[in-house]
Amino acid sequence: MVRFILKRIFFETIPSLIVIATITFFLIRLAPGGPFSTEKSISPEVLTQLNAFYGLDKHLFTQYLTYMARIITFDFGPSFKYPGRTVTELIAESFPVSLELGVYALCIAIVSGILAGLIAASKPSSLRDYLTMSISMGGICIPTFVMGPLLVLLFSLILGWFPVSGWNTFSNRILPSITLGMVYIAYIARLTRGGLLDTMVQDYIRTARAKGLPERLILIRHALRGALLPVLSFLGPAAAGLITGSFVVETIFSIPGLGRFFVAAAFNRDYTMIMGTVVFYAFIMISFNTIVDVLTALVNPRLRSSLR
Amino acid sequence: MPIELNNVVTSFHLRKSVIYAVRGVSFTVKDKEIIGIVGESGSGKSVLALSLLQLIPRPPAIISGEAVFDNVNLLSCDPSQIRSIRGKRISMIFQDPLSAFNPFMQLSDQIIEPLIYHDRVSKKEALEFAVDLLTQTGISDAHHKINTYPHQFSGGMLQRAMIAMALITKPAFLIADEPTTALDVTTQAQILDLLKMFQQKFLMSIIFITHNLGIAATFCDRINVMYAGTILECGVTNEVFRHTAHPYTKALIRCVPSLDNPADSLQMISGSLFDSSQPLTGCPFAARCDYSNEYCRSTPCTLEEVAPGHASACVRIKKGEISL
Repeated sequence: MVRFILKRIFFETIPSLIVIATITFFLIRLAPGGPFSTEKSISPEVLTQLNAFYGLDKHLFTQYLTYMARIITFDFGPSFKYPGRTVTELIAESFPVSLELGVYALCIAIVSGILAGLIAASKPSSLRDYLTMSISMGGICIPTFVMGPLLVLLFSLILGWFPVSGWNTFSNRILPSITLGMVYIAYIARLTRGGLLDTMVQDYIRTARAKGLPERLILIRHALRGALLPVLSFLGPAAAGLITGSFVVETIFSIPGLGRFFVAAAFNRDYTMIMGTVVFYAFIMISFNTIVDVLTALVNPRLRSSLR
Repeated sequence: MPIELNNVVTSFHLRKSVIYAVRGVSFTVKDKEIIGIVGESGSGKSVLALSLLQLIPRPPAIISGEAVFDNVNLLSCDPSQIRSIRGKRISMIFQDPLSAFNPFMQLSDQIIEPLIYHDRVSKKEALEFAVDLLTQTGISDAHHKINTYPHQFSGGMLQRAMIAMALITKPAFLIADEPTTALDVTTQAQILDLLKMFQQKFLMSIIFITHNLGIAATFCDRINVMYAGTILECGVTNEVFRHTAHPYTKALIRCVPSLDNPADSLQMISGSLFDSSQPLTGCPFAARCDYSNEYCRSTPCTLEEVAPGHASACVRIKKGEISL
């Protein structure tokens, strides 16, 4: 398994990251404007000096090479918009917040999603099936920027159970976690249900019934494992997206997470910040997909030989 | 332990039509007897077998009639009662061993499941018992192999494992649904020997479903020939093969390839299976039968004894109009 992971890192992760970094580097330079074009009163002398300080006066290709050499040592350079601070510092500061929020949201989504899927699939086409599935359909359809304020209105303003915004106490974490996890609950519930309906008609389920096992045991012991494979492959990209933060949720609840940087950096043409967030996000995404591949092979014994 | 089937009917009620898979089957399996059910694909053999343990999803299926086992009607007893019988007193072996085992679970966990669930045996004890049973089925190094997954086994080995799984609770009755169909000929013979050995050891009754007449002839004490959900001929194995009393059975026997005269190598029965959505008015085989006449098509046929221990549903045979 160690060999499999090493192989993945050297032949997949690193090449992908280089390609992504290269494409991003040139694409953002193609976009009109630059990091200092929004400043109103900036004299040409200052601009020349700024460009010289950040190395923007050099040939684009030279800039590319210096930049690539630098990110190998995990140095993403200074931010253009947050003077005196490096991109690495900013990410290191805000990522733990997003990670924490993402992990809560992920836990909520996995537990409630699988539970809802089990409830729905335990009696297909019944009232409880339709009810669970339409609620989860609603969860997919309602966007977070509606769900967030609705939850705040109900639980903070009317009931007064949780604070409206902020990130200081544990009760601060509850509403944003639910808001962020909501959409994923729905996806996981639908995937679990679909997977269960597929496995419940397999011959080996009939064998389990012929052994006299009760339905609940068959559902959990025999059917769930195979049914969770599609959920697992969905969880890779989903988890990567969740722990890297959401601009919308972080804005609604004033959370100092990583999500806002993705959007702010792009608007500000903060070149180094864009590069930093994109490469970081890509790294997380690729890592989680590798983790999912390992987990899938662990769940499915027929794939275990692929880990060698 | 005997089972007495009395007018078992299994029909599937779909939105626009009704499929009659089993149309009133009655027979008795005596104690320690191996009874064969033979017939073409689609004749209702498997549905009958699955109906006996309520393994057909209801709805859409409706099962009526009686299958009495130890004073319990298997077809209508409540779910908890049938669960206590399944895998404990009546076990089942399926056709395709690779799909019948759960690919995500180790064989050991699957084989000991009935014992742990029904008899509350400890896992350690159950495993010892399973290894012993697996060794008896001819799997060498069983204590090691039991910890593998189904895909690591060959078809023949898996079928042995399935036999061990079915017999681990020492059931009084076994339903074997084409247990050798997915296997090659030499493995078939080994599996049949194995089943016979266990049948004598555990004193089981067996319902043995097959479309292979050769296997039925060597393995079963008595044979039921099934077609379109009904039994057309039944009797002691020798009697059915020596003094065949139904044109369908005759046609089936003729279809068995023979090495003696390869010139007319592969015979078949012309025509197609009786439409299972149609109600039965006469003999279901009449449309494909060389001997049929108008009377056959319009007169409902019932099994009647033609010789001691041998019954046929063919009206013309019963009236002595034809002989095969």
